[in-house]
Amino acid sequence: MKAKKIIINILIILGFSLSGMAQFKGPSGEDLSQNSNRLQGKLTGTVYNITPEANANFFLHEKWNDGIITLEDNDIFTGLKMRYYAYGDELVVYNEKIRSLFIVDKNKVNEFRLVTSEKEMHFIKLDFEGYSSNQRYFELIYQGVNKLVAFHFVEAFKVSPYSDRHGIMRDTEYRKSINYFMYSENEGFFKLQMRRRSILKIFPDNKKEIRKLFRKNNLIINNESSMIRAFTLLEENEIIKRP
Amino acid sequence: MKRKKITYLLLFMWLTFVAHAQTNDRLYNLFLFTNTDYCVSGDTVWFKVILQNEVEMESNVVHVQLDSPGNNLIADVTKMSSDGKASGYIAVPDSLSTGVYFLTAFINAQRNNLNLDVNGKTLFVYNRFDENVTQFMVPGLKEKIISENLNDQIIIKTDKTTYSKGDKVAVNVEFKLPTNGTQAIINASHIDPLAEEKGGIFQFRVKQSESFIPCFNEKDGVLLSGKIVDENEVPQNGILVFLSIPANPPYFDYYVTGKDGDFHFFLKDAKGKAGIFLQTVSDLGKEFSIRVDKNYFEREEKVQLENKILNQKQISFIETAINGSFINKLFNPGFYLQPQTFEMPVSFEVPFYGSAVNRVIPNEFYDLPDFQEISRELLFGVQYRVKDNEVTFRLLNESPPGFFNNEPLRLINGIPVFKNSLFTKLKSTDIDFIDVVSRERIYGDLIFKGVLAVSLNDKSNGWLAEQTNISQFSYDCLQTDRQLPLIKSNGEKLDQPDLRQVFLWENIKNGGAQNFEFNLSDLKGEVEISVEGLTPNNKFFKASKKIAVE
Repeated sequence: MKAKKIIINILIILGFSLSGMAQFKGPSGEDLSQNSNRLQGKLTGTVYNITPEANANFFLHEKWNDGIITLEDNDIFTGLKMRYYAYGDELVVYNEKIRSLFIVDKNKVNEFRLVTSEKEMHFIKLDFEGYSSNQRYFELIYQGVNKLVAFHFVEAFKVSPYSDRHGIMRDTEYRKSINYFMYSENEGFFKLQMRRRSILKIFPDNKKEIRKLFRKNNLIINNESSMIRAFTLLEENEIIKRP
Repeated sequence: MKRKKITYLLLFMWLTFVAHAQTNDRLYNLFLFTNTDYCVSGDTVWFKVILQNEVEMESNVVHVQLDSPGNNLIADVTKMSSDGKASGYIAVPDSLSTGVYFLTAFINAQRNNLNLDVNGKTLFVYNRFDENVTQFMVPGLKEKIISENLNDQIIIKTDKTTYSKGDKVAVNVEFKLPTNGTQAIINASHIDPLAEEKGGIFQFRVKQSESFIPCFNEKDGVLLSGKIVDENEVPQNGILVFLSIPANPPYFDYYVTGKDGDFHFFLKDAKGKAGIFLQTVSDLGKEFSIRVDKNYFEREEKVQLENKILNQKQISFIETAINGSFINKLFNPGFYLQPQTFEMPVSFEVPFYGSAVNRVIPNEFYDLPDFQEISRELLFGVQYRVKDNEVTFRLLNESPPGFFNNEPLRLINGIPVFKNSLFTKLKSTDIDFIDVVSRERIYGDLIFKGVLAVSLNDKSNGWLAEQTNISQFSYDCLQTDRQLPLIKSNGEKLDQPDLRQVFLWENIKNGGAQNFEFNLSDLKGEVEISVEGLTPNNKFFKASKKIAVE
């Protein structure tokens, strides 16, 4: 059963890699059909050649998800198969008609939604002014006066050489991580941890009030849902004020 | 019992159908008003269209066409609406013959309506070279819509009934009709006695000019449609068509033709006159003709006309109108010129082919005599090879590293080029910049094995003459906003004759009493002050008052 699964996976990856089946090779449109016409606009990007290592480690989800992309010009693309490439903060889409994977041009994307077996994830693009100013995709966890966003990423760690399950020598391990932020349009990003102290740090003038509020509501912050509850309470009690 | 059930089912289906049909009728009502009922060839006629909000939600682009009773399209414009209203102008060709013509407004989404009735407003056109118009072919009264006369509910008062040339006229309009949903336009203009007697709004059943144009909701943009045919005029199915608009960044799109050889492009936010390039892409070596078609409606039946012998009043009015137009053109030549500008705000700052991995500005280096030298000296990762006088390009791929097996997308001034010899003679002094994209790019369902984009200093694109299957078109996109000039005189003595025929033309708020004033021109005759519009039930209404200018 396991061997069968591996063979199927390899075949899928090979299929993606052989992406030159319906491409524009020169002055010919013979591989295209009327289904390729879309009056509102086209999705653009750079072809992505997936490797077994990337397939296993670099994406947020193991499977291809149904998704919707909204571009900066409000053009909406539905019915897409896509995965969030957490190792490089990119969105990879499978173009069924030309059997190719491609990284969608990030500068054109406004937001996208991934429908996984567990939940629908809503990602938005924000200008992240951290160590280097760039545009990043964040999962929107809570939308109120401020946003609570999560940055999903995959980190590579050097480890002692080992043989993986296919007998290939490896010295790198990939781990998925999440960084949480409060985002305000005027003040930018505030890094958060799943702890009460982290929220208190952002609102130093309201420490007492927040402690009391959380205590009164028996709120212990240790996961995403408690963080959402905390933000809701802060807004309801006008600690986070509407502009 | 079973029979009863079937009867109920049929009745239910019929009711559903009727309800649906009524919804469509209600949705697609457009009402057109013009600043004048007549004009001289070469004049500009201004229009206002009222459309319902339901329509606007789906589509906010109104098409206005001027056609002859014999279904010949004379002129057409597209205008964006806002708050259920659109206003613009239509230039009447200078060579148009004397006769009655029709102005009609529609939206492209109406194409899904098989039995469509539209309103056509008459426009009496007098050719400026006609010297003695004594008879006229006028439409029969069969299809005419009679406006509801609301003189008792919209009271128009003036300070006098008889004025001298150039006098100021004070107008008071008092609405006594239910205000909710009433839309109106006030107009003060000279009356053409012929248009008054025989003109008006007519209702016609129409059919589509070109059945292949899709029923597409045009929102903030205009649809460009056309056909690809071979030398025998046979439509070509499945041909790849490229659209290019040279700009910075350039605009590009593609379409694969349908069974009628048809292609369509949607030009969002495009305003003015666009210089577009269309080319067919085929490796068969076959030449195709590219045709851009007009989007308009044709009446199912031609309008029945009857001959009318004009009376002296009508004859002298036409003479005055033609002479007045001649003098107007003499003193205000600029007024009749149509704007030739084009604007299409870029949705994305990055070109359609992606960010350049390498942008080279040859001017920053020593001058190089040809493109082979330029590739060799300045363009990293670009192979320029010549074999048997055939030039080939290959680009280096970033990932996975190595040269592509196929040629890249080659562009000159944003237009795809398939004849590589066009690059050969390019000197570095001819080139503004070169973008090299060393990546496999996807545009919709097209894959490009890298992109080599050359932007020339000379944007005239004279080199296109050497490439086959490419045509340049000038296409009217959404009409740009323009104010109706010379409508009001401030009463000062002008150093030229004042021959205005329209004095007032604006949307009017419904309800209460409102005051307007305007100065008359040097023309004598009857001036009609009218309030026209739509009742809440979408019926035309009109209230008017006439004054004399002596």
